[in-house]
Amino acid sequence: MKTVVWLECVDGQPTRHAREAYALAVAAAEDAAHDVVAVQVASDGWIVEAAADALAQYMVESGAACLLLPSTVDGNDVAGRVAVRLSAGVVTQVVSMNADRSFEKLVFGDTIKTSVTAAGSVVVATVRAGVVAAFDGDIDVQTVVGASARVALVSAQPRTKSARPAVESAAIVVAAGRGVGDDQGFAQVTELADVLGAAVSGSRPATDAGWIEPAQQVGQTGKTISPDLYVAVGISGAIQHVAGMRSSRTIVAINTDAEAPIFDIADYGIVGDAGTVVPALIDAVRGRK
Amino acid sequence: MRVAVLVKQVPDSWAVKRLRADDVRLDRDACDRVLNDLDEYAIEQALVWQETLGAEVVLISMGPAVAEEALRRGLSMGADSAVLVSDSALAGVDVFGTAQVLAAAVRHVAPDVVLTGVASTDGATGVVPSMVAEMLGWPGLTRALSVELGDGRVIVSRESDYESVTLNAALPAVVSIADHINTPRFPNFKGIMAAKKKVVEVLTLADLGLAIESARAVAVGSDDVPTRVAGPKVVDTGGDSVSALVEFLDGRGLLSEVRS
Ligand SMILES: Cc1cc2nc3c(=O)[nH]c(=O)nc-3n(C[C@H](O)[C@H](O)[C@H](O)COP(=O)(O)OP(=O)(O)OC[C@H]3O[C@@H](n4cnc5c(N)ncnc54)[C@H](O)[C@@H]3O)c2cc1C
Repeated sequence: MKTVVWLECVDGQPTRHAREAYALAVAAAEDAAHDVVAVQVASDGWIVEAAADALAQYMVESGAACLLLPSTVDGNDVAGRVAVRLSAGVVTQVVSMNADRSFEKLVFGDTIKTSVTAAGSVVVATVRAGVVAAFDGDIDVQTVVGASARVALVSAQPRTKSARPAVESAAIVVAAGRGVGDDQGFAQVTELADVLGAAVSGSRPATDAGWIEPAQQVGQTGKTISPDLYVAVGISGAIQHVAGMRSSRTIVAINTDAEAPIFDIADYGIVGDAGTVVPALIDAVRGRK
Repeated sequence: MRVAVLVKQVPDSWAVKRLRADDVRLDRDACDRVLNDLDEYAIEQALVWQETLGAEVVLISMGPAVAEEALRRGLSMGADSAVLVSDSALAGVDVFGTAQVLAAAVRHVAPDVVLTGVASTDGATGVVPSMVAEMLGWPGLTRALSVELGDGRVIVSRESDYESVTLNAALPAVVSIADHINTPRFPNFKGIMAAKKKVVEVLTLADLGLAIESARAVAVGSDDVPTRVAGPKVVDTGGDSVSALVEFLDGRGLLSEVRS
């Protein structure tokens, strides 16, 4: 059996999320009869169409039984298209894979874990970020070329590079909600993130306020993450937010409202004003060193 | 100019969702049913075109007969008419089958552009828009943060994980609308009254000339994820709570990356 992994790249380098998908495929390939092939796609068009085109063709030619992709915005789109071309089942956001091409995934805001099997000869699956350590050895990569036939790419701009870790791969994430109040409150949250070596994230009001980009938002229409530590500052814990962070290993919440639902899932809660607690916490963390 | 909007009836976001023990499918009868929140942004965009371009707005859904309630909600926002594909053979259909049915319904409606939400809040896969586009052989532009029509083309800006892109494609096309793009209107009294008289065309698979194949991806088992147990909740006065928190974090080995 052969598994193909799409190595999504930025500046020609496979992303960490893509190397995680590769690691998952390698771990599931328990014997020598099971090949894992990493494929990257070269194109000057829109990567989604180009990758769908090239990967569908590669899957057919190689007779592979499984395609894994990172569950990124583009990975998700490519998965759907390739599944249609191959008439294959598609499973999104898997957290584990077995040698028989069955998967586990979390559904309904990470409250239920299901096992999913695919009928038919081919299955396409996207792998959630952070479920396994990224493969950090050398990966033997095949490059395929794809065309973007129906959609013209007018412009592409890399997202502004941040010195901070990315939300989806950071060990620690500090997230701001409406309760941080204003730009100054948000600046304190980013300072806390920097002191902790953390990524900066937030709830939808943080996106609406322009403090974070949509791609940094956590929740139903943002990222689903499971960092070692998630610090929620001024976030109430709405179901749409919690859907994206419930599986964090440790959750800390800072909120003025002792009844805020975020406290129900927090391993440690501070009932207090972010404007007081955050600067004090920054000092205390610095002082500990 | 005709705009079709693909919508879904889903359990209320706040409902506790369970999978049935016998067939590992969502127990929809145990939840209140609502129009998928994320579809309202697509309906709102279509209604903007109804106002500015005189577009006709047709809602399309697949679901049991009660899904008509979700369509009525969209009609009361201002959509002109609706199509519901309802057939007992559709119970337990997977995303592939869903996309096949929706693509067939789109062909039936023959719109110039198809809008969708970014995902349903229950299945939450987000793959249906791309799959429908691919099945139709149309351009599929997902997660639009802005969308413009002109000269038979659609221009979309979107953000992926790593870049912001602007895309341009010929109509007909499928576009999924991000929830950051607008604020959906609330149906007013006049809209609710008008919606009662609007037509909801109900179609079976036979009407669409479609036979559904067996599901390609099947949930075969499920387990509850253990609920989280709330930890200590400390009331802060003037910043006095933080040293205990630092100790707690240190105890869990979470302060190894600390920088000054
Ligand atoms: C279709 C749909 C999709 C959505 N997707 C997402 C999503 O992906 N992500 C997301 O986050 N949301 C999403 N939402 C929005 C979600 O429903 C909530 O509205 C949102 O998460 C609330 O954000 P918040 O907690 O920052 O704000 P609020 O709910 O307003 O909470 C603010 C909190 O701050 C506290 N507070 C106030 N002042 C202070 C202070 N001085 N110090 C400390 N605490 C303070 C308050 O007690 C309160 O608990 C979605 C909604 C819909 C309808």
